[in-house]
Amino acid sequence: MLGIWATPLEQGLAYGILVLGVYLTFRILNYADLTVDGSFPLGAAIAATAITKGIHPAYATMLGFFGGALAGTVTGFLNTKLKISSLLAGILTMTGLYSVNLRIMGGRSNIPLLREATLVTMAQDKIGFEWGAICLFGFIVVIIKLVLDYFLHTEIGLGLRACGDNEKMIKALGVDTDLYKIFGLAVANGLVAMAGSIVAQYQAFADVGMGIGTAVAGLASVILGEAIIRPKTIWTATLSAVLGSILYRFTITFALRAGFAATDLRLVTAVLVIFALALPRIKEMKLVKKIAEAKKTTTSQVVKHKTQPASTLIGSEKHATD
Amino acid sequence: MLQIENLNKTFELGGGTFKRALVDLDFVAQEGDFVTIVGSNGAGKSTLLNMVAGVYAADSGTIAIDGTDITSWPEHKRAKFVGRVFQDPMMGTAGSMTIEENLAMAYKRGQRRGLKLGVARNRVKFKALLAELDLGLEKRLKDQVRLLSGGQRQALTLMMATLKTPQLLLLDEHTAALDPKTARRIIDLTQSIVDNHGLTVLMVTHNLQQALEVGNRTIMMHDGGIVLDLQGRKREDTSVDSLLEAFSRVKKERFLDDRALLA
Ligand SMILES: Nc1ncnc2c1ncn2[C@@H]1O[C@H](COP(=O)(O)OP(=O)(O)OP(=O)(O)O)[C@@H](O)[C@H]1O
Ligand SMILES: [Mg+2]
Repeated sequence: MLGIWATPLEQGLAYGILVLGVYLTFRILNYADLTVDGSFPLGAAIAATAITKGIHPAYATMLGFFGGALAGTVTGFLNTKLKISSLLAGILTMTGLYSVNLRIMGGRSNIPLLREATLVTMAQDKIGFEWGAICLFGFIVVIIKLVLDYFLHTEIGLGLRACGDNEKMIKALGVDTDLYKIFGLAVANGLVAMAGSIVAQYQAFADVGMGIGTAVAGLASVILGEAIIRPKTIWTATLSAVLGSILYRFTITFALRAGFAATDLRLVTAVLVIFALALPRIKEMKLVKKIAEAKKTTTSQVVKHKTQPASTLIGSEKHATD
Repeated sequence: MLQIENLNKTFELGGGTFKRALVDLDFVAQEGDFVTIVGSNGAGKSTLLNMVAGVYAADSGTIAIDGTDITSWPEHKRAKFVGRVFQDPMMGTAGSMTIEENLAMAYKRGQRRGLKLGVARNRVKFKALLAELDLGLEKRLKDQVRLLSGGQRQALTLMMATLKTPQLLLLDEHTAALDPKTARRIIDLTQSIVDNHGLTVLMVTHNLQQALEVGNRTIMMHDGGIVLDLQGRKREDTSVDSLLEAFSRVKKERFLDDRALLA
């Protein structure tokens, strides 16, 4: 029934968890977090290893979350306490995680899960093959979205949002901004790793290289969703993150169908993000041009009038009323 | 209420140069004092306020509020005692968040924050308080603060700083970015809030007229120290002109001192 759109929809929902995490750092904390490229495979590695050791996949997925939260804590610590720049802090954690992930996977770069029962196979057994994964991922991502919506309106949630908006102000109101930032990064990377755990179960393997480019793909999804929804509230912003994730996977499927080589997609994604980030600039430049044109077309008298000193302006006004 | 003893702060400007922003500064404010602070650019006024709020750590000396030594307290912990309004209207509010969310954050100043909804039950209270401002903000609770004018933002910041009554209110040129009429409004508003709560206030201003009119005490800072402390009769007898004169005298004295040292 869903035909070729089943796969991108499934992916979009599964990666939607990751995109919510990226939204949390990128938009709420105003922090471009590259830990993602490491915490995503971390979640996959933890879940895959745990499942092959006989741990229930639900617990394995949760373990993945906590692993990611730990990674986020490290990045947060590097950034807030050791004052390492946000980008570099993320890169350092990500780089270290590569070795950690290989360790967790017992030195292998790939763990197959084909023979294992996973959350995905369980859902497919219950609901049916076509809708199993979609229902499972959809359920998880909606729950997380709703919890996030609530959380971002709590007292702590408001403080977290203020950390990204106006750090000086919220510090003056008594929030330990370092602690909040670390916490935010922990939750975000927990979500990212959880997405990694779930994607590993979905594709039936964990691979140490599966994280490359996920941070940028996450950003692209956030931006894509915002371009369509133009969210003004938290509720719509998290919705746009999830929809952006689905849209991004659709776009990729479409691009592949249109004849793009799979290997070119990273470039397409990067260009998409660059374009979206440059958009405000482009708009600004257009506005400047428009103003300049408007100035040219208005009569010289008006322009003169504007540049007159205030005193003469008042004088001329008086004259006009006479 | 506020006791500052022998406070020193030196900034490293890089390249081996240093700036002594506060030099052996002593200052005591009584409960209910409304102190206006004047002094030329770079005198150390903002630094003094920042030190009291805990933005910078002291090199030496002590700061105490009501007998509690807070010198080593981090800024977020001092927020329990201190409310602040900055010069830049953008500085005191979170622009992407709504008016009611900003108020909700201020309502928890210096207290434990939890997992209860921030605004929820307080909306009625916020509405009533905003109505008192008479700026029409009570109808815009769900508007993002970045949509407000500078004056409206500053009025909101002032409300936020005093929503949870602070022991000490720090105002750093909080009307400097506003047009004269709005500035007047904000000053009146400041006055009424301070009177209502009997707050202790430190207010930096470059408006000498205002410095003498508002509050009960005026200090002048220069080169990181307090060079003039006016209160009571002495302050009443001081005019803007004589304050200006004091300004130039202070500068000259320092200049002569330096000359004497060099000679
Ligand atoms: N964070 C900082 N780093 C380095 N130097 C600083 C810092 N803050 C203040 N200074 C320096 O300390 C001195 C006092 O600055 P301060 O901002 O306290 O002056 P001010 O009295 O508030 O002046 P203004 O009236 O211009 O606001 C100045 O020379 C300033 O350059
Ligand atoms: Mg200043």
